[in-house]
Amino acid sequence: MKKTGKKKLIIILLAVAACIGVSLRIIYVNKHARLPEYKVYARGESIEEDGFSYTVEDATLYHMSDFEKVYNDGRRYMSGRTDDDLLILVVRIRLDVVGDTNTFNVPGNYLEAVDVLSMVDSDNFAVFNPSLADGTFRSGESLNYVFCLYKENYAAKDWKRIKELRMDYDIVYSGYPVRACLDVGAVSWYRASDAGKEQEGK
Amino acid sequence: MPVRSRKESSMNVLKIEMSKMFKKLTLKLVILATLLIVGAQTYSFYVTQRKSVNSTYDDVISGRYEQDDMSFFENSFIEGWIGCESYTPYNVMLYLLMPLLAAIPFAMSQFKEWKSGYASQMITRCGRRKYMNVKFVTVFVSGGLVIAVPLLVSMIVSMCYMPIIEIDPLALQSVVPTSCMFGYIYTYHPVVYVLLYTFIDFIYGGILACMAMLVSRFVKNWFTAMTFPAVLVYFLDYGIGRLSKADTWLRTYNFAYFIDPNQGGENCLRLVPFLVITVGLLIGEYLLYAALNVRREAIER
Repeated sequence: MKKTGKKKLIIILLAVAACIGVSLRIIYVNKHARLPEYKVYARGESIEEDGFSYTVEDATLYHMSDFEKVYNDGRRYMSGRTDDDLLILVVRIRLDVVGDTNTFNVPGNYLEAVDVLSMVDSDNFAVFNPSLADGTFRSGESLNYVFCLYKENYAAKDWKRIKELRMDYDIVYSGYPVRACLDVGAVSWYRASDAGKEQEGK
Repeated sequence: MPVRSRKESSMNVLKIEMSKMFKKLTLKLVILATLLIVGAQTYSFYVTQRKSVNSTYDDVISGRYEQDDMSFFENSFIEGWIGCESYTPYNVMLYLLMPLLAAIPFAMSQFKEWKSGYASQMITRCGRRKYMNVKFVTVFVSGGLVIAVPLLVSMIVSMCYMPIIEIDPLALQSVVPTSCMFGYIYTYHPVVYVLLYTFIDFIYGGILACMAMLVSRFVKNWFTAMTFPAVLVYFLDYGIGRLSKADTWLRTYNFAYFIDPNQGGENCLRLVPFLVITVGLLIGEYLLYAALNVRREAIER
């Protein structure tokens, strides 16, 4: 065999060996990926965390102006925003005490929809749930979890899906090793005739 | 004497030019330099990010993070890919150097060949149009390769220590949300995104290299021509694009923002302007190149 032919053969063999080595390494890394185990609880099912049980009761989508009337005594909720670029999802969650704890911390849950996260409005949690603040809340009652959906965070087709109530939402309760989520289920638009019912929740 | 067909002779000229380009020391040196950047980026990312994710995992598994199970998220390989990596300065470094690197290996070859008289010999042998077209293609490929090779190598290296998974949304590490151009591909098919952007950067590497070649027609100094694409990109990016945050059109129609797979952290890039401007640049460059060379004197003094 000529010298150049030998050199070529060695280069080809080395390249093939490198390809096989890299492929095996990639397969190994993917086999050992540390992914969480997903547990999604459907509407009506309860998730237990830190001595409390959480169950989604219903979910309502608001335009900002409607939300302000129902939950914020008509005061402006967010400056610089309009009905066009901000929608608000209020999820009513029944809270039951199942452990021996009596302290409920303001939640910091995320709402996940097509990989876009919205955090519960924890700053105003007491405003939207006054029974927690004044101490009249009892186990088995509902809490309002308020999530802001900003138009710019969603692709146009996803924003359309939100408005047409075709979007799937999950509320995340834990990250690793188990990813526990509450499926929000069907969402409905707020109608002015529901005002009484919403005020009850408040 | 055997007579060669036109296509065959065209292929021969292409072969000669490609072989000249691949044998160029500057091409090898520039690719080596980009690979050094990829190496430094991989090391830096591993030390600053991956190691801390691994140690968080150990803490979570050993129960030290019992109260906070939102601490550990597995990295996706795309987080460590130099195109979309934002923990280290090497992404910025690569894309700052990119317009210059694309022009270094072969973009000035036509300038030099015209000066030395080699171009006139080639034109006499194979015809002006053929020589011009082959030169355009070779310069284009040289610019594209310089950018595509490090991106592909970085992808493979990243896959060797991080799994091919979607970025966990809870990790808040996504740099291209679904509302961005190709956002869905980035989120749900990261490998496709990497390959797609490597292709886009190959095209832009070619466009920038050809741009330097075009400018070399107007200037007497090759250094001015070679650095022109870099100066233009910096001007479009830092000068024009950042004039006003509110005027998103400054970036939507600005090709300096198309090059970085991070999309400059902007969500204002749109597919149609992107396609129109990219194709327009390609066609415009070729037409201008043809117009500038079709009647060019074979020997210039």
